[in-house]
Amino acid sequence: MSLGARTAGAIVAALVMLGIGAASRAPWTASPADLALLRLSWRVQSETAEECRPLTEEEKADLPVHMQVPELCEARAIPYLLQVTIDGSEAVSDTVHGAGARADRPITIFREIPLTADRHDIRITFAPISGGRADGSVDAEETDDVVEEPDDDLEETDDVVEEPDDDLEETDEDGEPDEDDEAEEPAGVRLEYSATIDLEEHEVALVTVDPGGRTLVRAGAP
Amino acid sequence: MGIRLRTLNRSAWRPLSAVDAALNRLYGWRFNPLYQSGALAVVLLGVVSLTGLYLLLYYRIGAPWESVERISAQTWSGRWIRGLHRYASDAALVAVGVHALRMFAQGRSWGPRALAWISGVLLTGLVLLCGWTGYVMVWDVQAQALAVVGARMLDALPLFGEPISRTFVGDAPMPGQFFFLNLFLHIAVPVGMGIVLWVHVAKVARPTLIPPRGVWMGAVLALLALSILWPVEMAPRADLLRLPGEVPLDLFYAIWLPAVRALPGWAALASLVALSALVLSVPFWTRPRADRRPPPSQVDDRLCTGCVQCSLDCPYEAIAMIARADGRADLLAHVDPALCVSCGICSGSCAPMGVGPPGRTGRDQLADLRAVLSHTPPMPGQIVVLACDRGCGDPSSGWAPPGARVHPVPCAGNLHSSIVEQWLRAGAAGVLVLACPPRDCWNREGPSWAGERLFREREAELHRRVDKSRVRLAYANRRERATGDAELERFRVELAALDRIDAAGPVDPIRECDPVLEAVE
Repeated sequence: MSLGARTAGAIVAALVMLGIGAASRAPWTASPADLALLRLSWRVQSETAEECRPLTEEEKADLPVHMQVPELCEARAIPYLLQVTIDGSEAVSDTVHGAGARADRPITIFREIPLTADRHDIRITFAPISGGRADGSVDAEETDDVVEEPDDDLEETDDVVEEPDDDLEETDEDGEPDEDDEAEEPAGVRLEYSATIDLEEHEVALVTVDPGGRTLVRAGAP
Repeated sequence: MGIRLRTLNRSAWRPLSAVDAALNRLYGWRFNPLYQSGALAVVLLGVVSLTGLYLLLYYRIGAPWESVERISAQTWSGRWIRGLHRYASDAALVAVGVHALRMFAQGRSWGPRALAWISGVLLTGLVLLCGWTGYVMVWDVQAQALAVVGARMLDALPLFGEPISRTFVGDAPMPGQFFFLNLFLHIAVPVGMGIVLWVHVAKVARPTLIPPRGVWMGAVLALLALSILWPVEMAPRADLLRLPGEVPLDLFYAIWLPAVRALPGWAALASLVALSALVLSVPFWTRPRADRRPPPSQVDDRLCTGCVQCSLDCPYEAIAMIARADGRADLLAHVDPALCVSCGICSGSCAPMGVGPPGRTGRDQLADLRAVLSHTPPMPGQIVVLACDRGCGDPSSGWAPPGARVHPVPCAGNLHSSIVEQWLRAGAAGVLVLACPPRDCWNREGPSWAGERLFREREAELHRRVDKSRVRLAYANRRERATGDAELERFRVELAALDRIDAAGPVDPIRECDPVLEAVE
C-alpha cells in the first residue's frame, strides 16, 4: 500500500473520530429561552358515594336467608373537576377520575402547562363534582350518601378553601394512618391556589399540596 | 413487490459498495472496517464493558452527577476512561448500523437468516437501552430530558396506576432507588446482550467475533486518542425545577429526542412500536415471492460418498451427516431446508458433484460450460475471468476488459474446481477467479473456500494435473473494476512469461550447465 494511501487512510480515520466526537455532543436547544412551565402534581384519596335502596320481596326471595339484607348499597367513585385559569383564560377544565378499574383508587394529578417566562395570574381549583355539579358546591340532599364527608357543615364549602376534618384521615385496622396514602389530602376536599407569579426563563413553577395536605402551594417558592 | 424490494436492496447496496471500494483503496480489503462491522461492534462493546467496570468503582447512586464529575476530574485515568467508554459505545452503534445496512443491502435478512436479523434488531434495541440508562446515570441536562421522555412513554402504557412522570416532579431530591434501578439495568442489559448475541450467531458456522488485529487495535487506539485529546465534558446538573436549555446531545443514542420530546407520550410510544415493528418485519417483507426463492441444496444419494466435506464447508451448518438407509457403510449428507440459504458453497465442495442447489451443482456447472464451449470456445491466448456476479461479474456493471472473457458465476465458493480445469483444457491461457473480498461475501465463506480448493488441496481440490500457475484468485467488489483490470494485467504479464518459457521448450540441465562448467574450468 502506497504512502499516499496510508496518509489518506489516517486522515479519514481522524475525520471519522472527529465526527464521532462532534456527534456525541451536538448542541441542542431543548427549550426556547422564553419558555417556562407550570407543573401541577398531587394525589388525593378518591371519594365514594353510596347509593342504597331497599330490596324487593322478589330479590329477597332469590337470596339465601343470611344474605337478605334490608338495603342494597352500591358505592360509586366521585369524580373531581380540575380547573386552571391563567391570566384570566381557562387553560384546563378536566373531569378526573380515580385510578383503577372502579375508579376508586387515589386520584393523581400531573399536568404540565407551557407558559412564557413572564408574570402570570394563576388560579387553580380542584373540587369534587357532587350531584352532577362541577362548581364544587354540594347538594345537601345528595351529600347524605357521601361516605367520607370533608366537613360536617356542608353549606360552607363554597367559601372555605380547605377545611378538612381531621377525623376523616384514613387509618389502618390498627388505627395507624395508612402509609399508602402518603398523608395526602383526605377525600372530598376542595383545593385552590391563586397567585401571581413571576417566571424566569426555563423556570418550572410546581404547584402541589402542602406537606400538611390541606392546600395547594407552590413548591420551592420564596 | 419483489421488484420494488430488490430495488430497495440495491439502492442500499450501490452506495455501500462504493464506500467499500473507497476504503479498500485506503486500507486494503483485509483491514476495511466496513467489512468487519459486526465483529468490530462486539470488540467495541467489550471495550465499553471493561471501561465501565472502572467507572462503576467510582459511581455513587447517592450523588450521581457529582461522582461522574469526580471521575472526569481524574486527569490520568477517569477522564480518558470515561471518554473511551462514551466514544466506544458511540462507535459500536455506528458499527451495528453498518452491519445491519450491509445485511439488508445484500438481502441476508429473510428465510433461515431471519433469526439472525430479528436477534440483531433486539441486540440493537438492548444497546440503545443500555445507552439510555448510561446517559441517565450521569444525571445532567441530557439525562433529565431522556428520563422525562422515557417516563412519558411509560405513562402511555396502561400499566401504572400513577404516572411515572411524577417521579420527576422536582418537589424532592431524586430517590436513590431510581439510580439504583437505572444502574442495575445498565449492568443487567449487557448480560442479556450476551445471550442474544449467542442466538444471533447460533445458525452460522465459525462466526467471526473478533476482527483482524489491525482493525480492532486501530479502532481502539483511535478512540483512545480521541478521548485523550477531546475528553467528554460535564454538562450542567439536572434540575427538575428548570427546563433543560442548551443540551449537548449524543446524536448516536438520542437523535430521536428532539422529535419525540415534541410528541405526546402515546404518540412517542406508538412511533417506537411502529418503527420496531417495521424493522422486525424486514424478514417478512424482503423475502422474495415463493416461486422466486432459490431452492435449498439437494443431495444425490447415489453420488454421496459420505466424505463430510460439504458438512464442514457449509457456512450455515445446514448439512448433517446421517446413517445411510441403503446398506452402504458410509454416511450420507442430509440438507436441512430450514437452515439452507441456497448459497451453493456445497456445490464446490463435493468431488463427485453430488450436492448443491438444483441447477447449480458441479454437474450442472459442467453441463452449462460444455454448452458454452460448444459454440464459443475461448480464443487462443485468451484469459477467462470467472467473476462473482455480485462483484465485477455483475452483468449490469458492463465490465468487459480487452483480451479477456468475463464469465459471471453466482459465487466463487460455488465454483467447482473442475470448471477451472475445463476452461484451461478448452484452450484458455489462464483462468482468473475474481471473487468478492472475503468479508464481503454474500455467502460468508465463498472466497475463502475457493482459495483453499484451488491452491491448498481442500476438497474438491483443483486436480494436480492442472498447471496452477495459470490460475489466479483475486478479490474485487462491484465498484472495483480498476482493481479487476490491474489484476488481469498482472496475470497477463505472468502468463506471457510462462508462454515464453514454454516456447523455449524443455530445459536440458546438462546443456544448460556445460557452458558454465567450461567457463569455471
